[in-house]
Amino acid sequence: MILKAENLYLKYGKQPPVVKDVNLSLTQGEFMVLIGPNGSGKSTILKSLAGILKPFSGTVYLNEKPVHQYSKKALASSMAFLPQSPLVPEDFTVREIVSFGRNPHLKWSGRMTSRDWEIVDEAISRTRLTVFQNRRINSLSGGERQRAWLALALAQKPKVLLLDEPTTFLDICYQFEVLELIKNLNTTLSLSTVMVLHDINQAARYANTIAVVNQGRIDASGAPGNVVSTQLLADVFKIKVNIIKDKVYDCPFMIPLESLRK
Amino acid sequence: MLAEKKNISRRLLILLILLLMCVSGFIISLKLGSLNLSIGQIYAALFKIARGPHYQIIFNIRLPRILVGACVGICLSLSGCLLQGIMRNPLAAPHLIGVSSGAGLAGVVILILYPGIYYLLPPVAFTGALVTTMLVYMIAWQEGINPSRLILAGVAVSSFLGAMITGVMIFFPDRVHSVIGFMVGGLAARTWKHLNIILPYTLIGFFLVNLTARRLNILLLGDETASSLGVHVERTRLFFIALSALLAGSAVSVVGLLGFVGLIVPHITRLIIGSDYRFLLPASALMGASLVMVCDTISRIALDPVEVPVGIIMALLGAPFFLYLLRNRMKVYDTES
Repeated sequence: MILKAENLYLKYGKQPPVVKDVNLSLTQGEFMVLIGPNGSGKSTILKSLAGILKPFSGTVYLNEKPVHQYSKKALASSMAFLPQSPLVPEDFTVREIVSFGRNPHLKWSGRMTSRDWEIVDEAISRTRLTVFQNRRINSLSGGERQRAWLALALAQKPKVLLLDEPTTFLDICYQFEVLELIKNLNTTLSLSTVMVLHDINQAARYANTIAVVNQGRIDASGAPGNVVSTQLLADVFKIKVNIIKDKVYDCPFMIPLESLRK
Repeated sequence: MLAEKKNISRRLLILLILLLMCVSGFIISLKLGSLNLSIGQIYAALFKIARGPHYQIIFNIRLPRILVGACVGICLSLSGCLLQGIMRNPLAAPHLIGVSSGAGLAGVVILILYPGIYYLLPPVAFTGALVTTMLVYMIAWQEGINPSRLILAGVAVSSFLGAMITGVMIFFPDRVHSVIGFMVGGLAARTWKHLNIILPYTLIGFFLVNLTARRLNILLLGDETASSLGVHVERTRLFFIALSALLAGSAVSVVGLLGFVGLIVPHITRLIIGSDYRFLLPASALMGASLVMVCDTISRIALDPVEVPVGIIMALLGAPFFLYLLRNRMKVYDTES
């Protein structure tokens, strides 16, 4: 188990817990997708896996060691987290932004060695940003920008990648481009990945494991073929669907019929 | 690679131009005044070749005053730059975290209520600035610091202290005169003693700030991204707030509430050199130093023999210039929102 959450309870401030008794485990190289309705607690779970939100009770383990026992930099050297919409600063080129990914590995003085720059170059070429690397990040299109954030995460040289809805605000072509890139990084680098997604069909297509988050709990988890069912989608998402089998990718494909929320 | 190099050399060139501006500002300030000196006379005095009235004017009057002005410019600009960065708010400036109102109240109390100990003004004003900032920070703290909450707390505390300042001034109308100079900010009669107060903070601030530019850049990506890149967001923010309070506090304790520099200089510089802190911070420092030196020279000669406080000159010249830059290069601000 590279990443494991045990009996996780999460809350913001003094409000009642939004996530209750969540258990998750991710094996090396696994691609897990969290799906669930709005406000179900998916992003909250992800933030706590990233060590940004401290659990009110329960523990997240990275490589069998609780994340809160890691120093901030040590954690960032093993795990990268991309929030849903990072702020886009002006006046920074893609290459400069990607070089920030080396921050957890640098000494206090912040000197980048030639090895650090090699890693930056590799992250840029893996995300096919070489031609854009000297463009300012705020001049890029949404899909290119998302690839730049992925390159930033890759420059951290993480073992685990956490992504919060990386395809929101992108058109369908960029959505697939970004998802294919993530899947490609996941398989070629054996980079263990947890991603929050809204699109159930995309989740079924790319994930090894789907975990369904509903009202702060995990209602079901497992291989897409076992999890995505008419009954579950009716219970959790309140929609009536038809499920067919995608023979090319060997995964379920759902066709929404109507809302069950009356 | 080429484009990147070009980009960096362009910004280094701007830094060089600013440095030249700073040096020429320094020479012009030494030269001009009620008595205009020639370059030869300045040279002779600076290198102690000739001792005479010129030497006295330069060493005892102009030089300390100019250096204090330069340090004040550096401190206030760096302070404003830091605050705009960590608050991600273009309106953030030293006065928003309570520095000015804290120092102002201390100044009013000393100059009006206890004029006998006027010489304690710098340390008391400095303490007032830091205590107020600490108070604002503590009020705004709630499992972390949210920049908007900090700014609102700063505004509230400042208005509260502002009311006390006005109250004291109204109850002692006959003594108000002595405090007006402090409230506007001026460099008249600043000596080596004042330079000794502010110089250490200027140097420490300048080095610390430039060492930590990378962290400020990373904070521009947002708290969550910065945190996942290994930055202690809260700790870093507290460090920079404390540093900017120290910088601004040391400046206002020496020259009074010269508020404008900390707000406008970082913006002017950002419009010229961009928001990469590795370049923005040194450029703001140079820009702040030049601006204060030049405006102080104007304040000395404009209505000679009467001296206009430098704060007034600065606002009169700086605001229109800033508006000009804003209208011409507004694109930079359109992408923010």
